[in-house]
Amino acid sequence: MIKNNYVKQYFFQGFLFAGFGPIVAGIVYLILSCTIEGFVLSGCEVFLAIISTYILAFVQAASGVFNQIESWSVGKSLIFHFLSIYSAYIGCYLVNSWIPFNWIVIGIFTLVFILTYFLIWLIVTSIIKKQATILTKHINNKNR
Amino acid sequence: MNFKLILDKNHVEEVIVYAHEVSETVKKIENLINGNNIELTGYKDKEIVKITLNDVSCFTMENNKLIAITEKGNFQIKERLYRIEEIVYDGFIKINQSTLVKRIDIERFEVSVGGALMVVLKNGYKDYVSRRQLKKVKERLGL
Repeated sequence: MIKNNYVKQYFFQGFLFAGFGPIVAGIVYLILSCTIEGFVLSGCEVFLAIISTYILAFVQAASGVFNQIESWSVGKSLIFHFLSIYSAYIGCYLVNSWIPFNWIVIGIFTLVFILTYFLIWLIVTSIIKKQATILTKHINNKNR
Repeated sequence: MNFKLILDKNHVEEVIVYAHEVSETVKKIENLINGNNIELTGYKDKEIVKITLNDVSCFTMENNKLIAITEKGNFQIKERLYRIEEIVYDGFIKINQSTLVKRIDIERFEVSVGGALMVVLKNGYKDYVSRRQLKKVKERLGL
């Protein structure tokens, strides 16, 4: 795949899943309104949440392309993937005031984000690795 | 159907099938043997060469062009990928939307750092297995 294809793929994947962002936001707000008495949101807050979760889902889905660029080193792919997702999340959380603009809070958020990112990566990688081992074993037996 | 293999370096390599009828197995054997002899025209710069499926490890789309990866190098094939998919029959596996790899040339599967399942061919070529194709890949490998 060449550079242009990756750009196309980035936007394709992004737009394909972006719509799920506002749906998730809607579900979260629904749960909050059912559980917190007197929970109300202004039109502006709802509008901001819809736009930012749309962008969040777009970036989350589109960033998968960074891992498919074979000419990039492993480290570069991971850094781009992590930074794009992290910047979308931190931006989204701050704009919506889901976390306050306080360096300690941002630091804790970043730490939790890094740990969660690493944990998810570890789980996904180990599942795929197991699958790869089974397939390799099978193909070796067949080719023997 | 019985299977008999005779290893003889002094004899021309050939496959002779004795069968009661043209069954699915016979058709598969025929496709397997003749399929590998299908000739394709490969283009590289100003060079035009004849290549057979035997030579090809992988077909992949690059910049909207179909490329055959062989031991002799990479050649453009002026054919559609879906047409090649029909021709190659059983010997190749579609691993993602734009790549077919020869089954016997698969060396191993591995995981990329991003968590994608990768196929590594004996010539070192690597490509990812898409989630959509994974089920079919497993089926084709008999899993």
